[in-house]
Amino acid sequence: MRYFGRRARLERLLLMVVALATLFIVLFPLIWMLLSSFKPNLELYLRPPRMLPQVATLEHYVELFRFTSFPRYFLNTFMVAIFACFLGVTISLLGVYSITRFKFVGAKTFTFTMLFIYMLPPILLAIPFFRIWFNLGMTNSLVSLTITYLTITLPFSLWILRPYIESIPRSLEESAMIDGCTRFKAFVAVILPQAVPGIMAAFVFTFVVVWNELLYALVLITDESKRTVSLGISSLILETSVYSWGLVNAAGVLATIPILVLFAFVGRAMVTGLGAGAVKG
Amino acid sequence: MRHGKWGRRMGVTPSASANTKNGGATTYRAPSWWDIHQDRVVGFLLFMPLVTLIIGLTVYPIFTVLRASLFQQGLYSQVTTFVGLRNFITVAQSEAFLRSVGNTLVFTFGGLAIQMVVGLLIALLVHSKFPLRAPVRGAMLFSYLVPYVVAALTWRFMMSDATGILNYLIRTSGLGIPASWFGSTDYAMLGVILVNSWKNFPFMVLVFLAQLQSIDPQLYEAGAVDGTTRWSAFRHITFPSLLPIILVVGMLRTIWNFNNFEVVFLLTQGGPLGRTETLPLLIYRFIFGEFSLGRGAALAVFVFLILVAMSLVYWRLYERAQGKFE
Repeated sequence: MRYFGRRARLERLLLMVVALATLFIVLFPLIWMLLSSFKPNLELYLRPPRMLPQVATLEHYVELFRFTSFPRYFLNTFMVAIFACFLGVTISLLGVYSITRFKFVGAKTFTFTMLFIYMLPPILLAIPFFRIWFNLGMTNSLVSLTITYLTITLPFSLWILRPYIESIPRSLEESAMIDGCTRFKAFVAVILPQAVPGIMAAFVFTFVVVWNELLYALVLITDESKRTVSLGISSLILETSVYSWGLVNAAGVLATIPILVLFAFVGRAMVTGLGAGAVKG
Repeated sequence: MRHGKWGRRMGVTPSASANTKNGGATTYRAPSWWDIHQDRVVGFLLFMPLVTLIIGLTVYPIFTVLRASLFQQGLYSQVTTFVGLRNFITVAQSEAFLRSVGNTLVFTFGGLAIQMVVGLLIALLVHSKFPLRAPVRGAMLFSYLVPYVVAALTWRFMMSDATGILNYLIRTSGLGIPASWFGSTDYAMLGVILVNSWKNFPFMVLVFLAQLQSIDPQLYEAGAVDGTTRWSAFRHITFPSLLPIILVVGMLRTIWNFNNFEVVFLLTQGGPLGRTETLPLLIYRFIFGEFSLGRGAALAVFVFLILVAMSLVYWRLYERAQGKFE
């Protein structure tokens, strides 16, 4: 492919323009949310609307922290996500290791089942989970929400971890075992350090999925103090007339920050997770 | 191999491993059941928690849905009456059912078409070299990463009557279309499809880009020597290399659009007048709006069966795509 001279330069320019236009469409709604969260209430109703706040204010953030339960929601979501991801990744890791190293009857069926679970509509599982926790008197509990989230974190981490574990050569742990390690010791000393990138990817990715989750929380949690961030925001925006868009925007910005921070630091791990199950790892 | 407390039994046959603990003197013992199976037992134990949880957390719940579809039962009630397939008949005969099947098809395939085409074009575009390519690619993922509530929040805000910037732009543009799409019977479906596509097309870009990068550049070089045009390079090299992944991701997105609850729920809640009510929304309404566990479960079983079929197709495509690249 040879492009020289003016035509090539023009082409590159066009390319840039289209790329920037796409970027604009992707980012504008989020930037608009960010800018609006700093505008005082009066400015939000300004006609015609202005891009930048004329008087930037933190009043919506202050209100969010002082007069709403959002700090609580953040804490709830954080705790639930950490536990659900830690348990999910740990249990999956052991299972994946075992399934790649030993031959089990029905291992293929099991892998297919896991893929299938990863594709189930959440509403399908939300129904029985509501009934199960209701019968046990455990709706409105962050513990039951955490356990419910394992249905997300287990299959996701399995799909992310599998290619990593499969790629670790068996000879590594076999030689460790010949040197006198037990299977378990070999796993801890040889496999675990090798699998760190996969574990990171699984952890980060499932954390984001749980952080973003809405439906299970919507179905299981009615108690105000047990809400997650997603549930808190959804209950604000689903009211017929939103009481303060400034407040809602501020909440949206804060809900997005943890994810962007993760993306900034471990973007590669996240991208791995995004493609898992769709592309060969 | 270590024997531990299970390896005490001494026997007649020489054991495979000489016990070196007592100064290298050879002792004889029969390999115990544990010696032979220890490794497999450990492997099995490592596997158990995962299997147990999967059965407890998905297989069992799905089974309870299947059972609930055959009974008449209130959401909060413990009283159940066996009604056979009557729930299925009631659901199939309801007006909302056919409408939501139609809505689901439009929402699923409308979104799929947009996400596919845009995703592919953008992937081809950002695959070529231009200044600031890496940050542009990264930032393009943002809408995919944010929570659905944030996506819904900002679009509702931009479309809202008193404060919305898009609302204002549409109103002043003189196009004669409704300024608040999510409340309009004609535009609500288009609105939810567009927001869903905005949110999810970066996933397509990501996957296609990964695949584009794995195409052997020598193929293009060989093509250039033969003097191929760019279009024929796309048709004969790029597209065939992408096709398996296009099918896999297309199926995956079909399933995910089909399953999607959040976009519609947060933007329109299925309204106005049920114009955007998709199957997951209808299940939600049957159960948590009308408290009819039986009807909701019956519809869920219907959705489940469709999903089983789609997953089997996906699995075939996935395996085939893998085979092609290995």
